[in-house]
Amino acid sequence: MTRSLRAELLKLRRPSILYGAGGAAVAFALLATVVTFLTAEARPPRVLDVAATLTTSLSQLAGSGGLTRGFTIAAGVLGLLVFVLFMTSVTSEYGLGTIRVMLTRQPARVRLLAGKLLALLGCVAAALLLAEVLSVAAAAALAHTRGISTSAWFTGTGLRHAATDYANALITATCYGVVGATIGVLVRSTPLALGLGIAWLGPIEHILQLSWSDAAKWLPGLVFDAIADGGTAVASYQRALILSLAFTAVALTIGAASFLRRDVST
Amino acid sequence: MPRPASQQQIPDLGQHPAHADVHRDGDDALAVHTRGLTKRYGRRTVVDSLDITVPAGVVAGFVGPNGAGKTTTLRMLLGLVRPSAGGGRVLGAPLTRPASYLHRVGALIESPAFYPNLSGTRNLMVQATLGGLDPARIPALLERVNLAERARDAYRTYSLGMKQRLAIAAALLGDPALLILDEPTNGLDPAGIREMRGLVRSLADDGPTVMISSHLLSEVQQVCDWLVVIKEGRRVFQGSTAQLLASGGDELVLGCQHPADLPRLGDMLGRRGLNWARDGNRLRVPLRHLQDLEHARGLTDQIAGINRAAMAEDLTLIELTTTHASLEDRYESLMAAGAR
Repeated sequence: MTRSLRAELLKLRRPSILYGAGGAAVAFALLATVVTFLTAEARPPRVLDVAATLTTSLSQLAGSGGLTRGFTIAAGVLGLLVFVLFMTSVTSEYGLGTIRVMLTRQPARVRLLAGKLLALLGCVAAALLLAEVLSVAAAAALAHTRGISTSAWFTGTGLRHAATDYANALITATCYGVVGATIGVLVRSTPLALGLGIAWLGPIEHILQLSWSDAAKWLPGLVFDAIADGGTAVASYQRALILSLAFTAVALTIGAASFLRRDVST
Repeated sequence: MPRPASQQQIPDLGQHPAHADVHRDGDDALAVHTRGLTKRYGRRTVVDSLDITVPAGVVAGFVGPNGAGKTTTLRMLLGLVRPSAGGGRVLGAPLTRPASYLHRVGALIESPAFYPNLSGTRNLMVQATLGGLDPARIPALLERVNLAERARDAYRTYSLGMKQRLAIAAALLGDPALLILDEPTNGLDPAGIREMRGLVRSLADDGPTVMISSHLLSEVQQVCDWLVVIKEGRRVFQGSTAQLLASGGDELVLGCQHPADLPRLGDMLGRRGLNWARDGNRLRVPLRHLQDLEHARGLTDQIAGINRAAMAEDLTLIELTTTHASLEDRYESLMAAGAR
């Protein structure tokens, strides 16, 4: 597994990946932070207002969670990016035919897959950390422009809040990533996997959400997003976490079984 | 150059049924050995009870028309495709445990497969790291395949010939005991084919067993000293190149001064235990039949005896010649005859 992990890192360690994927993560986090602070309103958002999840009050931003509020909002979108990254990382191996080479060099298929996923997760963890740090720096700068008190931010509670938000973002990204990789293993085609995955996590889940009030309690993409938000009014954090881990475990099992059993004839 | 069979101590594992039953004791002398290897996709059988043997140290050609099942067979040898039935051993280890032998195998399957945005060197680094191999060999290997000057360029900028050569370098990374090259000249121009042929020859001189697949016998006959020919997933020949030539196709051609005498000539041949076929004003006798006769004392004696017998029966022969089939003729006749 270590060999597979190191080989994957060799592939990832190149400017287009570092600047592309890392830059996208940072850009989304910064954008979310800037928009959050610039659009923050004096009155608190109405409960159960769908738009309220994207609208934050100035008093909320002044709380201990205000420091990483922008990063938290970005985490859901970053999860989708991670989903695409993991999925295409797998499907491109089939598309390029490099899966043949990988499997002749590392015939232990589960180790190969595990090393690859861990390497990708390591990169995602680093990118998320960088995104959070830059988001925090942007928040600190923007707080002064909106007259937001930062006294609660740099306290023990505030920093614990920041650490929790990072952990939640990482869990969300892991769930998205594993599901993305599983779809990649099952479908093996980048266009098909992207079409299926993005269609499901984007329009389909949100259309279902409009007609089914409990959709956010059950549908994977919405449940993953609930973790990044630290729980929502519809899905509690604990429920979202348990369900997300269950979805991820099932996806991992199916993906590993498929990767282990299926012929490589591409 | 192909190594003479006598120097390689190639075991006689040709067509005799007894040779198909190779025991474990003999496995050290075999690089590849399969028994009843079968692959089915749904109702379609791609590889059908394939028994093949490749002695260690030879350059073996794995030949068959497109769609014969060559690549599927090689994929099974490399653990990429799971056999539907049967099994085998590679470098003495069972096919069911590819991890136990793949570190000693280098392979180029179908077409070169690398990461387009990585350089040649970085691509080999990835493979070396994944396989736990020594990356210190990479510069020498790139030098060997004449890619040292372009080693730092992105793979996507390489020509097809360069891509093939990089794939050969990758296959050599682990200093393999068995090198499997699937259609290594596919898509190359004549100059590229010559270059690849020279490279394969030089690799063979280093000692590993080399197994090259091709749909053209002419592609492999110049470098191979062992041949496995398959058609529609079944073996139609296995043995040395010399065995393929000797396995049939050569004929004795007889012609009479008076075509009306041909039936009498046929009767005379029949009394000598020879099968014949009429071809216009000639009779054709497979040389194999003459060689197979228990009382055979050599081909020349046999032909001289036929001539004397014809004279004794007042038959004037105006033609008594032998024709020799080329390797390509033998291959074509094997393909026409189908699996047996």
